[in-house]
Amino acid sequence: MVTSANAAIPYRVEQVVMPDVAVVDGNDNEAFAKLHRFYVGGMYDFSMWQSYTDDAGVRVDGKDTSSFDIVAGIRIYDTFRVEANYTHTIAKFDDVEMNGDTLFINALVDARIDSMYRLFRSQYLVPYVGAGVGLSGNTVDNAKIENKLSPAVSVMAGLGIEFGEHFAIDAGYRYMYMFSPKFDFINGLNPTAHQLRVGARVNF
Amino acid sequence: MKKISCSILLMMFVVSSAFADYSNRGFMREVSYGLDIVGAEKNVDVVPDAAPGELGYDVYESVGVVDTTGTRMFIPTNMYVRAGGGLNLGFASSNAKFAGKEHESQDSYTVKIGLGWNLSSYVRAEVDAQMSTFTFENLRDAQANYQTLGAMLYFDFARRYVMDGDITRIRHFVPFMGVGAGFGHYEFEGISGANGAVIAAPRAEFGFNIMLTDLIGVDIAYQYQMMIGNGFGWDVKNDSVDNISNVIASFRVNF
Repeated sequence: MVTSANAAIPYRVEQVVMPDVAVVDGNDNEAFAKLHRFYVGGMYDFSMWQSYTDDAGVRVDGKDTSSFDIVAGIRIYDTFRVEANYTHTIAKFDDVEMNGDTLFINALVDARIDSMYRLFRSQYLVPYVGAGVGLSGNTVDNAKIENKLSPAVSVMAGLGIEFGEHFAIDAGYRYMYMFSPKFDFINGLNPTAHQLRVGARVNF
Repeated sequence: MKKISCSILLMMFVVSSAFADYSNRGFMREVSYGLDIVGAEKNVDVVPDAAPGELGYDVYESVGVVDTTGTRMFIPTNMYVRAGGGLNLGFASSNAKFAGKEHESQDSYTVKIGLGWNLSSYVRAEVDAQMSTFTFENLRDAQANYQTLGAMLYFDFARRYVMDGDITRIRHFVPFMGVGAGFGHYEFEGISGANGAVIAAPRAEFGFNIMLTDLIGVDIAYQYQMMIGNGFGWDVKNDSVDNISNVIASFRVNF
């Protein structure tokens, strides 16, 4: 910015106002994300479904089941990613089995240290926490449901074990809560499970 | 005049030398031990070793370089993630009412997942999700559960990071307390169970943190919650105030 010159001085004088210098952080919060913006992965799920007793006293015991997950995600920052998560849900309550195609949108925060420190320090373990919302299309054996489509929510935490920048093993926990599909044999059963998950992710 | 000037200079030199008393040995000692560098006395090699190379080769040895063995980089952190679980303390929680009788909580557990911000050396803020399942003494077929979202403000009783000149030390044991609130859904399963929205206010914690590494630590805390707006049991009023006490252990990972 140039202001008026001082005419009393026989040579030209310009006063230049320097722009404010922004504080340089030194950290690039997309250092890893720029290199590997997308990832895919798969997980094995061990689900422990919770028992339930309804208002009429009808009780079902939740069983343990196995199923799988597929994820495809985008890494927005090094510490934040969003993923589409297909889960093949298998829930068992006594002799009633519910199969669901569940699609979650998960938001996850990775505990990844700043890029400026990564130059000097290798981080193999990257814990994360996250939450998801989704919909599940369900079918049931040995019973009937009123709603074929049920909302579901989840919270999760886990540990990513990174082998280089392309590959990671993922071990975690997820609490899954599905709003009631309205079973015909019991009132108000919201299928709820503690899930242990193990899988792998590939970054590209 | 010239003689006078020389005499004065000579006197000044003699007098100043007498007062200075600044030996070469003292100077070396100050350089070796008196510098304001923490750990210099221990680490700095001030005596050059015999040159290990052959005669005729140019062999150099760095003297005065701090030995970095055992030194780790200090990584300042802004946030943390938390995951863990805990047990309910039946003796310090309200008893559930069922058919007019009271039943103490037994084998009840909680899962906690949180995301936090290190606001300063002493203060942290955190949002968390808690999922609890209750079972009760002599009432094995009846259970209750709640899911809450909460926000807490934690106060550490000691600095996590202690600045000491160029060296930053990390405390491995830091007691803390926290206050906050939560809201969520209660469900006592079965006939006439108290189901509905519940507010956990206040929610208070008192515990300690043990750092396992520079970034990863374990928190062990007692948690108290005053549950407002929902009964605690079966066939009870939905407007009572009840107490829940948990002991929660969780991993806290800073980043």
